[in-house]
Amino acid sequence: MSTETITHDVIIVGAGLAGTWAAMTASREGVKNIGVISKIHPLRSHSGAAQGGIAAAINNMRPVAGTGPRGPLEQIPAGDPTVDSLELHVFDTIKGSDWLGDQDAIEILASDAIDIVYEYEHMGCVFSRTPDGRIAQRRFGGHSVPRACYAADWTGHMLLQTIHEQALRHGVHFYSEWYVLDLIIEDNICRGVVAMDVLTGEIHTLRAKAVMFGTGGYGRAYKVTTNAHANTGDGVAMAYNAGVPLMDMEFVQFHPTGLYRLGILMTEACRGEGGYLTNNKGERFMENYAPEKMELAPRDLVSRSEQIEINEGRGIGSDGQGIYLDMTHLGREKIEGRLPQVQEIAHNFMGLDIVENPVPIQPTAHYSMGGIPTDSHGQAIADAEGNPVVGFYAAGECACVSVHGANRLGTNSLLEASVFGRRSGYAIAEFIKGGAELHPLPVDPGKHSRQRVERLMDDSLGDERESTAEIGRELKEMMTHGCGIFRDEDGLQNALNEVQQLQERFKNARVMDKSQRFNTDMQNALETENLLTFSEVIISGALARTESRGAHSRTDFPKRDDDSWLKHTIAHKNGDQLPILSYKDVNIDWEKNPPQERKY
Amino acid sequence: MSGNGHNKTATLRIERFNPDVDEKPAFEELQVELVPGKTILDALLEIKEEQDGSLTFRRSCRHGICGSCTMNINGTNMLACESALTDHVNEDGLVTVRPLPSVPVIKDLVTDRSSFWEQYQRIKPWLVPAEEVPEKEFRISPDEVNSLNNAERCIMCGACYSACPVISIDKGFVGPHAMLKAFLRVSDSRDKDHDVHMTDIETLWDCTTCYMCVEQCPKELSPGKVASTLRSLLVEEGKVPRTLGVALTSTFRNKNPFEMAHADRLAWAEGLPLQDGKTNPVDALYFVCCLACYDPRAQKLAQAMVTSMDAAGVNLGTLGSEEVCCGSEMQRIGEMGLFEVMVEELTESLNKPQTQQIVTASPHCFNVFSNHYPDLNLNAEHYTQYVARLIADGKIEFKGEVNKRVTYHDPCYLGIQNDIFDEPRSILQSIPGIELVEMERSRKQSLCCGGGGGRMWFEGHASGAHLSHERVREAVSTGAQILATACPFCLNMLDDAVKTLALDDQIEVKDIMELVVEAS
Repeated sequence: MSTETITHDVIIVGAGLAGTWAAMTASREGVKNIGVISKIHPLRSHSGAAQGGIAAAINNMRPVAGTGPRGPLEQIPAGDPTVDSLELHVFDTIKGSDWLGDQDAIEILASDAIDIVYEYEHMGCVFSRTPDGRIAQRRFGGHSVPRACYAADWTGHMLLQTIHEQALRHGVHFYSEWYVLDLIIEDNICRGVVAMDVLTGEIHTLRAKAVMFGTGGYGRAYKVTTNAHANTGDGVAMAYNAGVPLMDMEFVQFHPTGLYRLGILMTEACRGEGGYLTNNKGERFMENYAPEKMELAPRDLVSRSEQIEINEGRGIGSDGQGIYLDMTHLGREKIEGRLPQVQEIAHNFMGLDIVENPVPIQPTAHYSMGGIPTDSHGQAIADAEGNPVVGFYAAGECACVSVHGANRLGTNSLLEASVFGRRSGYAIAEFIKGGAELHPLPVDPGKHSRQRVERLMDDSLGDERESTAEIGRELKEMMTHGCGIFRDEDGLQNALNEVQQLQERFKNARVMDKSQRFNTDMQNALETENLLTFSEVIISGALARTESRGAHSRTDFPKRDDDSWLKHTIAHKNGDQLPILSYKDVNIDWEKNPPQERKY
Repeated sequence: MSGNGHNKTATLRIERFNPDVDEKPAFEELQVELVPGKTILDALLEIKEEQDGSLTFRRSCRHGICGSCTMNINGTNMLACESALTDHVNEDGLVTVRPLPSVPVIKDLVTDRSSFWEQYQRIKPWLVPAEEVPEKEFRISPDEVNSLNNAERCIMCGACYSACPVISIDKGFVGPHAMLKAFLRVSDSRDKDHDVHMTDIETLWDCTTCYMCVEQCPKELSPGKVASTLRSLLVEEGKVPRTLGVALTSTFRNKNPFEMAHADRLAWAEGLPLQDGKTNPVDALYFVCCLACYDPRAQKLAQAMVTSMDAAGVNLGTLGSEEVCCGSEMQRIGEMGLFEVMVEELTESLNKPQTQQIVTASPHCFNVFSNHYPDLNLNAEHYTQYVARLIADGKIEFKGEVNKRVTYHDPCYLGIQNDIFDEPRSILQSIPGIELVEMERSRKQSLCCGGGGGRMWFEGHASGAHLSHERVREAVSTGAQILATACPFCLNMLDDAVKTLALDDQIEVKDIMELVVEAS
């Protein structure tokens, strides 16, 4: 394992929408020495798995007058009044966030949305269209109007292809199948990363004036998840290990419709297009929880409602742990035109034709609201006071701006990754062009990474060794039961004890594959170590937060408590101890959007 | 499901290889529990976690959108994540899992796809945006979106690329994935520089339009089918390889692509009992491929057909002087204007005779009549379909024997493109004495002879490598004495290959019809 130092002006880790937007933008702005590192080929990034849409108040569609909240949509004729506005997008997002979202950032999200959707369109994204050729829009949960711009149910795929190709056009260099092990920060100044070339197993130090993370979410900490195998929160764990705090990690979104037991995503567009949720009595139970919005209430509310139905014995399936997603009334034409991918998925994985049969689904770990705290330019911050970590940026699911607060609305994630990826790109370009320098590296920067790898390779333990896969399995089981949709003090305390035991056991974990070349056993082990690192932060934040807000639902504290908890959790690493928690005020415009009761 | 329904174990026969330590790839058999719903990827993950952590493969999304886990399962490229184990194990519970063919192996099931990405980059996959953009979006009609034919859904999984026969012999070929991306760009009115995608794409003439890429695309896209569209853009600019230009001109002037006189078209049939189908009521109209009309070797299969039909009491006719090239290859070359005129004229001729049945000598004519002649009022069949039925009905009886070991080469236009696999084999099996053996690549996994899509007239860019040579070697390796086929193009290509390779003492290429006559 040689350690060769590679130097770039900018290193971007992760090649989904956030990282690729940042790279493309900075390159377009004249920064030419950019390296984008991705542990999988860029086009395999999980942004591509997003299905339903990207939110923007572009006012192309409206409900047909007099048909009610679930009636058909039509294009808005030229000259007719609009239905959507920035203010409405902002308000829906704030309400969806259960008032934990930072309102200044949310305003940026909503106003940049319109521009970035048009930019995607101008760069060749193949959107679905209205009859008169505008970008088609559909309804989504928690949005008051049809705001989701879509490309059938392949939206993330189309956006990712589009931006990746534009990054190639601008000459961005990609390190495909390189795995970053460590972020190098000293004296609050970022200096580079340490990464393994997966093909050779060699560990390299990569120096840069600026490092940006677009490393995605941490849904793989849960047993049933919509997330790809790759979504192991590596960036979040590395930042935490490097002394950068993590914010609002306890807020983990459960999507209401992952395939039963498998967790594969069935887009919210299934309900946006009119699909129902039913229990084992055939009842559309959402009328008891969100009588107005019904199935299109926000995800936290729908997932909780499903879980209550299941817990009270009204679930479907052999173990009663499922719910039906019923689209049989939508008709073949609508399904094949707008939901072709979920039709294919249900066919491939459940053997069901959704035109004819309801699909068993269940609430499924989906999205990480928390992450690396940043300002609205992607600049990572070091503390509750908002001091910057010099030269370190983050955007997308690994970051916490925070626009989603305690619960994200569907279609705001593709939007957030794009908007704040692009803004990071501009900020990084300005930083570099403003005279940013390469800072000296610490002595032997790759040492910690090498030690991690060497320990996992070590052969001395024999039968005493632990299985990395088994530890991962136990962690996911524990997180699901101890820190899932519903939480309480006992469960969280047990979970915290257990994660610490698992961390201890991991010290004896060893890989089976001892080879250098393309060692995915090693990569899986390092990823599992990352899961253990940040799971502790999720649980700690959840245990401390004695209220229920958005996706964080404490059965022992069922009410939102604005007096005590209208604030962001900031968690700093504290050696081998539990994280040190501090709190940061939420940015609220008390005149325009003061906290209200959240009802749907 | 495994044969007896009680066997609960699946055996994965996995090709393992770590070039750092292994001399060559070797199969290892590993067992997992066979339960409904378990995918091939699930099985691999289970093995990796519980049995052997060194088993190496790519995976990420596990629901068919990221394109990571493409591998070769029982000879076909597919995504392991969306392939159910129960659908792929044989009656003994065995499934063979190999890395993608035609690309270097990095380790076990992980392949080096560098050439794949190089070709993707070579056509400049990005849309070239307009300098001046509208304030909002460009207006694009839903019909224009539909005309992209879902090309935008390609997940770059590499299944098509690795299955492509041309890629197997020449990594310089642009490849089906890059052709599809180029098609997406040049079909998009927002792209401001179509030439950017088309300047470095001259190897697209190498595509044999076998459509193996279409066959193996897990997203049911049609990469190979865009070859004609892309070529048509080059044809419009006159950027056609010289030899193809000659074939096109000849087709226009002589009504055949071989620069032969139209007046000599029926010379092969002299003295044979063949009716004028235009004026006489016939049982079937025999449509003879240009190659079978003029090529001395291919003529024999047409002559055999007439002889055999006469013996079977079938009243066979032709269009006589009105028989002209069907245009199949012109369409595949992308000469769409010429093709349209040919379709119109030949449809008129074909609709005149008093028969409902047309039987073609060539799978190419059969394919084009079946799929691209919208106004044709006749039932078009390939001769193997017609003859298989005559045999089944007892109209053809065999008095002799062909005591040979025979292997059958599936023509792409008949097999992959039209799913006709059984009729040719049933004819061979009904001939007394024949021992039919299969090549490793047969039916839907057949290897193209290299003669389609205009390649009959175009040598291609691969230096020294020929698909027909590889195919003949594969046939020889079965121990077959006869390599049978049912297509004048395949016959011509394979026969030439046998001669070039000087293997004529080991194997003989014959059309099925010739074997029928031999045994009659």
